[in-house]
Amino acid sequence: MDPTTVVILMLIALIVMVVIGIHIGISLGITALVGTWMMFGTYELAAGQVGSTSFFALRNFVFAVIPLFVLMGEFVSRSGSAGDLYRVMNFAMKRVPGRLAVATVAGNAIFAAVTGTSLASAAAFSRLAYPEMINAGYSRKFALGSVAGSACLGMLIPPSVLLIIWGIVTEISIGFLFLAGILPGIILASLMAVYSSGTAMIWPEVAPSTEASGADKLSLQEIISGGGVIALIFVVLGTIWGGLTTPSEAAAIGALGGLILALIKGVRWDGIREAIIDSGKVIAPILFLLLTAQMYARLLTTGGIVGLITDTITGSGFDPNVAILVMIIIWLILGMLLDSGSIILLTVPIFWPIAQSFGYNEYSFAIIGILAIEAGLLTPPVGLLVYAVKGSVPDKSVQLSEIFAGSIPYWILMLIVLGLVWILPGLATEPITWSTGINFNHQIGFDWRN
Amino acid sequence: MVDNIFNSVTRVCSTIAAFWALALAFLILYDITGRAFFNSPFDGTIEIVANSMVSILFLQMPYTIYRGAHLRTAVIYQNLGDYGQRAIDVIVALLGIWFFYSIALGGWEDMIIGWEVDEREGEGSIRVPIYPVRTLLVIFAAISLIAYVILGWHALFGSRPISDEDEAGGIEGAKVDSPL
Repeated sequence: MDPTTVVILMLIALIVMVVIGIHIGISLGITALVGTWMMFGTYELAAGQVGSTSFFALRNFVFAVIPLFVLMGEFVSRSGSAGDLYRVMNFAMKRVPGRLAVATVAGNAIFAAVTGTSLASAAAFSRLAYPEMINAGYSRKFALGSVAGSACLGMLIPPSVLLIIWGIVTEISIGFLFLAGILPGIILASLMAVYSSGTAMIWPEVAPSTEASGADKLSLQEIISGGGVIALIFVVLGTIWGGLTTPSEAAAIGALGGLILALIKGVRWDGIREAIIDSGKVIAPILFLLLTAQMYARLLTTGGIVGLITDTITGSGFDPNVAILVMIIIWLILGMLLDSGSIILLTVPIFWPIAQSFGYNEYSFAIIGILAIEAGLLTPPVGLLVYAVKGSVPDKSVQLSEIFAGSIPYWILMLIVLGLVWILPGLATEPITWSTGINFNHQIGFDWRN
Repeated sequence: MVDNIFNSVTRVCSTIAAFWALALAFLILYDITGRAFFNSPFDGTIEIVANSMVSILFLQMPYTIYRGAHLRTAVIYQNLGDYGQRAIDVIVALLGIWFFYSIALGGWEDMIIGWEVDEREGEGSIRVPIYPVRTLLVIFAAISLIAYVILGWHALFGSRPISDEDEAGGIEGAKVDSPL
């Protein structure tokens, strides 16, 4: 059968399978298997292809970042450091209006960065920060929004699982991607902090000041543990930034650092063992998706569909910015329905070659993509973060609609940062230039070097 | 009975893989330290880590499948009734069986050749043998197939595999339902 027809049929089949709830890895793998079979006419050849991809696809040093960062996250989560970090942040924000919300943003930014996934962070801060904010008289909507909204920072601030997946799918440097996430992450965190603080100043009834909160003294234990998490993130990012280690090596250091932190915090053998066993439930699904995504990418390449779409779009005289806008809208819509990792695996193999043919910079494009996809974690009907918060807050009377409503300002802030990176792509690439001296020419957006 | 044995055996494999991942962290640290301070890196680190990734994934695969940890979209699934969900689960199981059968079939011949030629990888003093990894892939693809057979059986007859609630212990800290 004609390869292009096969690929189009398989794309339709893939979408149907994913939407009705077939495991995403299986959907990707089966479409690759059936597609190859239809193209070449022999099942044995298709099975051989699937078998050999299973063996070769993950045999690369770079994939070690995933289990190692997941281990780091599990150890840190289990150590109970989130609470100490929150108290350290709360102490540091003493004089800031809306300090509990600002401390939530700051704590989330660091904790989500260390754990690499927004969901664990949202769950932890729902239990820690939400009750404190409610006791201090904060409005429920505002408190819930700050927990759910700021958890999104974890996917942007490196090391993040999504950045790793993006780097693997597009075959660009994961270390550089981490660097690219730093400035937009800091800007987004700052905007979230300014929003929280500003709301508290303008509407004190939403977030009353909390002079008498019990956070005026820190114990040595809290300083060591809270500081330990901050130190861990600096070591991991610092060694990558300084070109001393590859991301996989930094992840190894991070995993052992997390283990030490957990031991210092008094986690004993049972806890350590639980953390290691639990990590498997996170590692295998991600690696499986990456494996099957490569099968699917191979089918797309064999079918020549990517070249066809790219030629059609670039040949039709489309304005590059309109093309990017269309992609962003598709991501925002998909973000309402699918989880972030699957969206990357399904769309990026097609979107990236198009953006590349328009001359878009790979790192700026990645950050725009991550922001658009991550915004979907806060939107109905499937906003995963909103469900994570609902599942974890101790107050069972909290409604999903309250969390969605409280998250809207954070969603808007993410789109603002997305717009900023689109207009000023250097926000993503400048840290790479500082670290390595490599200069990037931006053909889309405003380039301050020209 | 079958569930208990399968759950226990695959959990042991998954645990071995997770400890293996932690061991890699120590290996990489040893390599970095050796390279940075003693000018003697550990030869073969890259090959060992690369081959370990395939092994770790496939060792963890059956347990991950059995415990339903693979990602799926819940938009439609969660709004279906019992029969609807079971119907989808049966389809998932059939596709899963077919997919892992294909992996095992496709990997079989390479495994045999690997044994015959003593396939190895790497330069210099350490040449990592690859055929054990190929063997592990075929064996665990077959066990993953069995995981889907069991899940398909449960979906067909409306029974339930062992879940986290059945084994709920005192787990502290953040519990993640989905990895992303």
